[in-house]
Amino acid sequence: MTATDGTGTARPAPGTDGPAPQHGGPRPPHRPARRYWRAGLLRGRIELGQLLRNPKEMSGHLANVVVALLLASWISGDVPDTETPMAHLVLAGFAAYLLFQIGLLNLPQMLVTEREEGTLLRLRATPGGIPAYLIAKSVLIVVVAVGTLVLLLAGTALLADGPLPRDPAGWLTLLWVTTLGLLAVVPLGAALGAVLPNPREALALIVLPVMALLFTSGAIFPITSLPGPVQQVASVFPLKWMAQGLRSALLPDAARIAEPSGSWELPMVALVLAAWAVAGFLLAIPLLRRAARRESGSRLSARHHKAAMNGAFPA
Amino acid sequence: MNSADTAQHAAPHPAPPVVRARGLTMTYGDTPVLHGVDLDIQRGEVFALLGPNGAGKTTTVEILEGFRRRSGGEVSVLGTDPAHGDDTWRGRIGLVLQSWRDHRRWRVAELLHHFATYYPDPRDPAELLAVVGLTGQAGRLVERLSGGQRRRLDVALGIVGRPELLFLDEPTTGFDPQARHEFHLLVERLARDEGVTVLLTTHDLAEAERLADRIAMLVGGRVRAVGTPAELARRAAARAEVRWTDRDGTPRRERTADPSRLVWELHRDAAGPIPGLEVRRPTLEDTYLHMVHAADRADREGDGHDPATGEHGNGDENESAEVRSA
Repeated sequence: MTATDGTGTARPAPGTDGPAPQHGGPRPPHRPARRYWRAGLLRGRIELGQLLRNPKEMSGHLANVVVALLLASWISGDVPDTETPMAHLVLAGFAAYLLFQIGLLNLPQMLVTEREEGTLLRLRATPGGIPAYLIAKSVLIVVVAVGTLVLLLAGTALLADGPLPRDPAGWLTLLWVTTLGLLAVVPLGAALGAVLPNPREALALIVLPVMALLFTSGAIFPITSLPGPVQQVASVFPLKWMAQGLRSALLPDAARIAEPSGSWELPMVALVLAAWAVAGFLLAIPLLRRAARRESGSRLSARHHKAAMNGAFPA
Repeated sequence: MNSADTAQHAAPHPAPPVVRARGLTMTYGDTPVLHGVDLDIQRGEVFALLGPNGAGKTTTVEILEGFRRRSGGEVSVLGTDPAHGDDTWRGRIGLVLQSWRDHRRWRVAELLHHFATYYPDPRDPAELLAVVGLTGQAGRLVERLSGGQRRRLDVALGIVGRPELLFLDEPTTGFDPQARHEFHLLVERLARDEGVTVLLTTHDLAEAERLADRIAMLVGGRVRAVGTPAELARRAAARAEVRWTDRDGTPRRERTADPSRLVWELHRDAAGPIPGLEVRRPTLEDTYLHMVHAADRADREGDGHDPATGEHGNGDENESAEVRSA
């Protein structure tokens, strides 16, 4: 007796309402690790495609670039005691904030939603599903972050005389601050996504602290105008250092006199961001494991039941 | 279609069972949920786990799926302890849960193709779509599927990796009769033609009777009965009921272990046809309700509750205090 039966033909009907994906392509390799990488990269590509096709989410990301353009054209004057336009300082901080937001707002939101819908449970029940999920999310986050940054810098540079690095050293700083900044916030965001209860509460719980940090980290106006204790608290968190690092990459060296210490403090930027990256990984790995382990059908139903009571799902 | 396979189900095999549990216990905090569950499910068998809410069905199944750690006892699923199941083991198991709403923004065929890439020897996704009757929806977004279509997609995702063991959790809740019928045919085909072992949990007694080779009734954290649907029905403490209309027009009913004898005696006495004669055999439902009520009685002993009021609803009553009238 053969494995399939004759209920239908293998050929998709011509009248399907969308592109029928091709099949009969290369067989997946039999080495599991390679198969998981393949599945993860494929998954990342598909999710990216979905993001690009989703007008709501895309407009969210594009709105940030529009805000940056408005900031760049409205803010006038120079940073005190320098020849650097104030708009450049604000844009560098805004770029740092967007990276921060992608890691600590968009990522947890995505994880919590997919936990609630059962995506994580489905992947847990699939061999190699969780590694593939993490690979896919990393791809997605890196592409979105880099894409946002490129659009922001290129857009403001072309249309509003925005800042760009002036020399190879500046580009190098931009590269490592972005990389280290993402490494500092993405694992942290994943840890948040693993523990927060549901998408609705998650948003409420994260938005306030993120906003508070936006205003206290000197991302959008010089930190020296804030009281000392606020500066000290803010300098524990990565956003201040990401913003400072990006300013050092994007502003002329003379602008450093506007920094609290009168210097870019790049070693400190590297140290704080690396420390957050390490702490984030140490936190995220067990929390993600726990979140995946706790997924089961009954927990999922319980959450859906609760969500339905709150009117979150249409009946 | 092939009678040889039917015989294969009936005879117990010497091969090791696909699922084996001995003395399985589970305690949440101080609350014991499972008190030593024993199960043996053979290869190619459709096995139904029946029981009221809170009986421990979900807990049992989640332990077998490797999603929960048991408190005690021995469990082996496909020869492996599910608490230590690795990816290879996972790949041999398929899951269809009732509350999946995942991957809503994916397209149907795209999702099935994607999940095929995780398995070493997947089914052909396009063929599979045809098998579950979703070929016409291949390009549709998952969130635009109807409830029944979504469940059929879940089944397709559950079997795309050619699992040896398939878990079906309340698979036809919310199906219309036609969709339910088609789903039953699909499950039968998987078990009969491909030798997939199926563990079905359901509230629907008719579904269990229709699909299952054997049924276990789990009540109060214990397996109270295991057997074929017919065996279980016979085991009902409720005896067969004979109804007829007496010569003076009054409806009569009598419960007896030997309905044939009663009917013969009635005919002999009447020396002719009996109006309104009806013999009602004990059903799976009788056994089920009897066991549930017996368990309630055992639970409530000592706190002065009337066991008869322990209505484990089949959804047909709103007043919980209402006594089910026979």
